[in-house]
Amino acid sequence: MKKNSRIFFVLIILLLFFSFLEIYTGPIKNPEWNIILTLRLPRIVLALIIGTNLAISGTALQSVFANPLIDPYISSASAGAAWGIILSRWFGFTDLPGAVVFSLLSLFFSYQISRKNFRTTPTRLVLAGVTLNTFLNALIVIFFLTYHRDFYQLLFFLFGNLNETDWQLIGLSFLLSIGGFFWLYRLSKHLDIISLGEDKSATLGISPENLKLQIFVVVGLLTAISVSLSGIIGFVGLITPHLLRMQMGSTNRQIIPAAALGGSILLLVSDWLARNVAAPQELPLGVVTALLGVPYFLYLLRKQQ
Amino acid sequence: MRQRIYLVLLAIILVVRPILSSVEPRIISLSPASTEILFSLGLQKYIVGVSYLDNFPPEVKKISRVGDAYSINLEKIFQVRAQIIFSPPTNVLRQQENFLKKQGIEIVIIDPKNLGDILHSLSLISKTVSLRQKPSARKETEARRQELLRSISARIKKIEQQRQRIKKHPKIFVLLSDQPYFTCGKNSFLNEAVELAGGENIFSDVDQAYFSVSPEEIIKRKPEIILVLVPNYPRKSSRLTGQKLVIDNINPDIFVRPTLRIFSGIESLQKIIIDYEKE
Amino acid sequence: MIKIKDLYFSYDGKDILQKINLDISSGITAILGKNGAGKTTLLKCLAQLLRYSGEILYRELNLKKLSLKKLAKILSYLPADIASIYDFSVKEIIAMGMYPTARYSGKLRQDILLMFDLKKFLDRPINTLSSGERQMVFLAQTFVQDTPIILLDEPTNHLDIWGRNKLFSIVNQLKKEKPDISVIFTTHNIEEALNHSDNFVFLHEQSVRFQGKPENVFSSAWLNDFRQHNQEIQAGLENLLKGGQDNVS
Repeated sequence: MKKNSRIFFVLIILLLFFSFLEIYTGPIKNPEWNIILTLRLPRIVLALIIGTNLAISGTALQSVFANPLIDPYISSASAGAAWGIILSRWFGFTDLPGAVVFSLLSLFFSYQISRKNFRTTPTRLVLAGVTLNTFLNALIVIFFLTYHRDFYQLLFFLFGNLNETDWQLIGLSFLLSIGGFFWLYRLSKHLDIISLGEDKSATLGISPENLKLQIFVVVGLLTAISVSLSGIIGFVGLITPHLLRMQMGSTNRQIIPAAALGGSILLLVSDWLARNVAAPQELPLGVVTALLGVPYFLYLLRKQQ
Repeated sequence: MRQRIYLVLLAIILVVRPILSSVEPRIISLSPASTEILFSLGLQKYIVGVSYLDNFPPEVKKISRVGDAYSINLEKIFQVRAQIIFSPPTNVLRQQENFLKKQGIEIVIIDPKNLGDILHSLSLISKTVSLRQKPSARKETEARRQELLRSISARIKKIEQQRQRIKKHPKIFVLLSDQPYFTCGKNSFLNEAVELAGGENIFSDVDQAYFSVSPEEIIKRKPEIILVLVPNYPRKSSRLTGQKLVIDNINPDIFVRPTLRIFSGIESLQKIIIDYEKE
Repeated sequence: MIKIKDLYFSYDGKDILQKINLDISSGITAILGKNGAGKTTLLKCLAQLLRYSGEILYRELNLKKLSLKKLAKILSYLPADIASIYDFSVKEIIAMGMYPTARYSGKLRQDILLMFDLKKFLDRPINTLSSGERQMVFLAQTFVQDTPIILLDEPTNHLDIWGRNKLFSIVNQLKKEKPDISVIFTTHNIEEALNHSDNFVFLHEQSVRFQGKPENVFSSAWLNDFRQHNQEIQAGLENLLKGGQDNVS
């Protein structure tokens, strides 16, 4: 696959380029090493972790549900994770476990809602995800209005940003995300096969239920990690696999690593735009990815009809 | 004969009742700012409804809650027979405005954008309420208002004098929230308050009231003092480096609300700045 | 070889299959019946995709008790309207069929490729092919799984007459190489069944009305006539392809 090797090469170059951009540009000219280490480097690591998590989660969901219109955001996994974090903080627990549990619950729920006669058509799944998403987002707003009224914290969840600097948290997230990545990568062939349908998959020896369960767990985990680090960021998981499939073909063994690179690049670019377009203001990251992603999403919808 | 008696009674009822009910103004205050001003004018006995956020002074707890900037309980507003509503500018109220006005309820929007506006809102509230008071009460209210204005003007003068003594205005970052960092710019009364106290808001060049910034931007502007206005801010989680002083013991409410207490806030801040300057 | 004992299947309160008892030997078996008679259901039960009551045995092995992986070495299944939502290449699709056996090593079975004459399509994305060509690819995917039981649900759906002939000639070739192979397909086209199968099973109103050889239903004279008739149609069509209208008499 000569073409794909070239694409990987390009992706790596882009990643390096935007990483350097992130390191060498910013409000402070000629920053000392300390600034770069504590403020700029974490952003790159965060973009890598979150961009990868969201993009490969989107890829896996799109295969296991044979539905190109799904990603952690649309499937309401992100909103679920946000809820998990809110509840955890309300009761005084750490963010991550609650986020994982609720992310999984949301995924499971929107999947169950979309089932009818044991078949889930792509449209039903998107509808179920969007419905649950809207519901959860509404709950989040109500929660803040009635209990918390601390409007600014709400912004963290609904906007997204890469300002996290707790290296311990970042380190833990990095390790878990690497585990998640390899788990999904190992399932590449399974994901290819199940996109042909559950019947075909079963008779080729791959249990659809078992595979779905694994994917839910990994996607739930990776989404929870992403949301607790940066708030809800949409569309990265949707458009990255699509753009890459158009160029590279659909085999997951190639798409999953490429999506990791692509998602990271997308997030670095969005973060750079968010911080520099309206300086000194920092635009919400989720808004920038939505602005970049919504037109493409609409285009995809039209192609589907 | 009987008919005439009824007619007279009816006439009495028709004439007297409106007079009676208009004697006591019935006020709803939909923001803590206007509530505090009403209390400082001594007009708290006319308040029949407050917002969910109200917490000062403590007496406010006894008053029933009827809504806030995001939602209003129309039924409650009618139940308490409100005549005047003081509210911040909100879309919620705008929608109901025509309806409420048709019911004869007076709606006054209070939206101070700077310190001068705060004083102006004091006068606006005072005048609006006193129009519905009995002449004797009206005089009292007016006297209160004059007195308040006088004392505040005196305080402002003193603050300005103290300010002259400050040679170098320390750079201050106003922390309204973190994750993401939220601060205030040129168009906010907070900005003016900080400058009056003798500090310099590091984001005073930005032409916006409230906005978010990245930590690097904050560090670039080298704040010396951080004014923490987040309720219950955990001290350890301050991630900024290089600042020499973190002020987190001032009640955020006195700064964040456009009320008369802001002047106490300015005085406290000024004291801290002066002490800081001495070092 | 395949024994179906007392198979019952109902769904949503409706009985679809009732007390099915069948013996399916090696060779080509056609399952016939009206639309909705339960042909696909029977096939899916065979493929262990549905939870039925009763037993299906292959060489005395109860298929219900086998793991999916073991099952994938015994039977392969092609659903009626299979589609790939993503644009894998023909090569990749066929390679998926080899997952249970060759662990997807990437080396395709060249013999199957030759039989299906797909070498020219190998790198083309599957959704750029016509529906007939796509069907051939999926058939190839099923055949490379190399199982003793091959279950095909309406395999000739998108195929033209040449495609149909090609499919069955491939099946016959396989039969020659592996006499034990059992190919079971569903169709509602009785001529197809007559032409190409060794046995057929006729389903009607939830049960088996007939199973056996075509010779048991129709006289061999008639059958010969019928087959002769078909061959003439074939020949005529071939002529059409080669020469044009002058050759048609």
